[in-house]
Amino acid sequence: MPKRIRVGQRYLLPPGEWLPGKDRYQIQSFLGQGAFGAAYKATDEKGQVCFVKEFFPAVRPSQVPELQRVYATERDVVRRIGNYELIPRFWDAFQYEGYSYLVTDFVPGPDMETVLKSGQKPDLEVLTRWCVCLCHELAFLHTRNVVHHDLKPGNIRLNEDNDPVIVDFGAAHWYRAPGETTDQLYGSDSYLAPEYQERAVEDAEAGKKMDVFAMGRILVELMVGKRMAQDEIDRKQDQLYGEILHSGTVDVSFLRAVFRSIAYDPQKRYESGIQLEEDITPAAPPVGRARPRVLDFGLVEDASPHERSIQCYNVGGGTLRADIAADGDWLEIGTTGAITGKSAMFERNRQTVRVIAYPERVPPGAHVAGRIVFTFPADILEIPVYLRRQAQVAEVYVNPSSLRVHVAPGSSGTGRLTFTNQGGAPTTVHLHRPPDFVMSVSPESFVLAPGGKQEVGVSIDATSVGESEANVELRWTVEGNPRPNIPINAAVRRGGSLLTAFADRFRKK
Amino acid sequence: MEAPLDLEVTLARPAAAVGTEPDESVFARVRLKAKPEAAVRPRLEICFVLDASASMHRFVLDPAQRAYWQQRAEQRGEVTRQIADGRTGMVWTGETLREMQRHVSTPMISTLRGVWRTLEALQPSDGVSVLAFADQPGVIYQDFGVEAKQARLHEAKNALARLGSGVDQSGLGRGTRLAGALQQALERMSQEELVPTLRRLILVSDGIIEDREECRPLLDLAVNRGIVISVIGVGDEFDEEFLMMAADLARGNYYYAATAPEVEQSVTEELSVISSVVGRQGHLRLLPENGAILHDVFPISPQLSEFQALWVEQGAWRFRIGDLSASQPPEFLVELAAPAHGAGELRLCSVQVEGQSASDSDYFGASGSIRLFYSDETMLLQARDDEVLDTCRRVEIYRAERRAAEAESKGDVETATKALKAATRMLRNLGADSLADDMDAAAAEAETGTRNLGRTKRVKAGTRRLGGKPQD
Repeated sequence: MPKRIRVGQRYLLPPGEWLPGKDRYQIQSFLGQGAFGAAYKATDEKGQVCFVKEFFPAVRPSQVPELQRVYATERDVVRRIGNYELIPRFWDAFQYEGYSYLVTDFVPGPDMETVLKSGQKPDLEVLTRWCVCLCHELAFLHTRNVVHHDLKPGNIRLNEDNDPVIVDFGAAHWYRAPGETTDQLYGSDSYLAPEYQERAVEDAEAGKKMDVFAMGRILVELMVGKRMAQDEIDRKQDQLYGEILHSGTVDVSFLRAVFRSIAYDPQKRYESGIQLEEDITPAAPPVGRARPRVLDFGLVEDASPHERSIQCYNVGGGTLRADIAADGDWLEIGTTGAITGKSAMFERNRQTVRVIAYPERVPPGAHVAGRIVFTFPADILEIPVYLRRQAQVAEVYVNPSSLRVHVAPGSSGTGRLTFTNQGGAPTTVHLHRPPDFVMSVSPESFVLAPGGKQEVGVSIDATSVGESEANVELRWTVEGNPRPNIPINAAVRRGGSLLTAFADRFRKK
Repeated sequence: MEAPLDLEVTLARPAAAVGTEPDESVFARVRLKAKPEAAVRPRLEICFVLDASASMHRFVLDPAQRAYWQQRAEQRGEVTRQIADGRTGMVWTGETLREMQRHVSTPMISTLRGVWRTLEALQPSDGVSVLAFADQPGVIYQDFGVEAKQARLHEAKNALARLGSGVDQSGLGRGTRLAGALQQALERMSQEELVPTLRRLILVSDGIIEDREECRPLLDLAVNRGIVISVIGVGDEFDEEFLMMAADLARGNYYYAATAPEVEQSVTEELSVISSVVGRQGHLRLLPENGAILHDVFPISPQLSEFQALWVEQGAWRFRIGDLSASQPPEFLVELAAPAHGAGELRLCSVQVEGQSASDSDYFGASGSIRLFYSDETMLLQARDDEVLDTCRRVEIYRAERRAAEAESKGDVETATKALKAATRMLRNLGADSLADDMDAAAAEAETGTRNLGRTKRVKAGTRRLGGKPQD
């Protein structure tokens, strides 16, 4: 039963609680809350970290449809754009007990607002990469006909690679059809395009231009290295342009592109992030990234090849080129078709690299580590790869599990036991006769191959049984490890037939 | 089995206009009226967890007393200054100390008096333990039931002397680390009961708990085991937010003892609650119906407080309400949003109280519902229950005080001041002038960044007491 604890005026999910309605995500920590929802850091059943946005239930019954719409809009937007590495990827969406949930990648941060307020200005290489990254992301959104509507430093967070990632699509709109308009306009002061005030509705074209304006403002702030009020940028636009230009730190075409994006006249501004990206990216060198950062095949039970993939992408400008090498006898890689080998290369801005593990080349029970090495123009990236091959063990069964041996009077009786090995490794079986009981067991020890069978004969002499019957236990071991004893019941068969009775009488005489 | 209490639901405004969604929240008071004949005194397992830090052994004097004793001691050269728990205090020695011990109490002495009264009042079959904590925890006394009361008193007297003799004699150090003692307390309290048993933990502290993060999971564990925790904050420098949270979480009472003798009073009051129990480990279950939305539920009586946790099951909110005492029958204020509806009555929420009998292991349940009448008749629309409306105002004051405390903890002075001023105005309208004066002064202090610790504690404790009114 889901528990909630009081945080301020609300009841929220405590750390350790499984996400109600799903039981796949466990809350790790509470990140914050706003008027409409709360944010949590969580992990899935594999321990992968994710971000959970919880939408609060409506405050009034009449608000239910509107809140449903808001949730559905964000869910659809995140689904639409949720397969790109520089945007939080979509994991899951569901509703339970009036609450709605959206699960995406967790971007650890800090956010760009915090970075700007810290006063620490990144070096030129990082700054250029950040600007280019953001333009890639905006271009991606706009190619998907998604307008963010609330671009600001607070909605940009740095990921594990220190790359900026646009987050919070609560105000975003996905233009599904040509000519579609929306009256759901949002934005934050300092990043609002001047035409925002004059508009009651917006189409995709206008929306994209307003996103471009906001992005331009963010890029100016990044280059200046501090948060600036709208009127400050307005007043000092020419001065800023001059200052940045004369500092000689950025390319003129780059700077021109940034200032074109904040043109007051929408006609003079870029039409979308796609155009902005085209003008910005040539100024920057390519920078390669690969995900996931660790590849773990886990425990592999069979010997057949296993495949995973690594996604490579360019967070810089130009075209990314990479030479790839697989380090590990049991690893191969490939970029196109079915061809795999120990090395490969590509020259694209987004490339899926297939990684094939061959467990047959790994001894049973071994835990091996390899790596995939990406040599990019500016740096080398290594992705560790792990695999554990299941140790092969013997599984020996005996049939029947207990034996009844009929012994003819004055003679002997025999029984048969069948030992089978249903495991994956050969093994040795030993049978140990009881010390104070005369019986023969043949064979007394044998090797059982995987899938092998061995019949064992048990012979008991009537003299051992006495007048009626005897109960003994046959001890047996597999590789020296004792297994449950096999009960053996030996009984002298009397009066089974007229012939036997005569034979008995004759013998006594 | 027959429920040992009746459930009474009263709406602040029983009617709403037809066809439109009510603008304002619907407030309903849920009152649990205990049947006196059902009240019993079950077996008790009580555990005292006492702060034994240096400050608990300090004399708490009012200004006049301080001046008197200081003058006397200085004449004899029997006073020095020393820092204890980060605070500068007087160290009295010699004849002055002996005289003071005869005339003035320390929080520890008063607490031990309260513990002693409890021991005297316990039945032989009851179990009791006294734990103390400073830098480390220690078990001072424990039994799981005795043959004869006198034997317990004899043994306990010797054991408690260790705490009464001063901070150095306790051997536990001088700090305020609670988690170890809580852990030991939980280990000492039974998890399975052979006879119906009340499990109560009384925590007494006068300092800032140094390991509150480590305490939270232990408090949760206590709640899961049905242990009710009451807390007594002593003096002006204890961690009132932590203690209130602990009491609210474990559905116990929160007492503020400004002076040493009040500690003893608080223990005595707590004992009286335990002696007339009608139900154990109660739950309040609320299921909104017909499109209504549940906003919040506030315990009103015995103290205005807030639930620290709830459990959600199939759309219903379930709260733990602890043991149900005939001397402190609980009341709750439920806030809902109602949907638009046609003329007639609409059931907004079902209310259920469940628990275990005080005298045996049977479970009981009492149920009721919150129903709103939709009408266009002016007379009906103007109908109101003044007592419930008054309760709503008191809850509003409490919420304002909580908002102020939350804002203050975040350093948001403006919001804190605003909330306290709003609470002051509401208190004046209620005629609670003494608390209003304190609240007003607290608002002024928040604005200027100064803080009178004693006043802060008075304001918080006073606000909680706004809900505790005797029932009809």
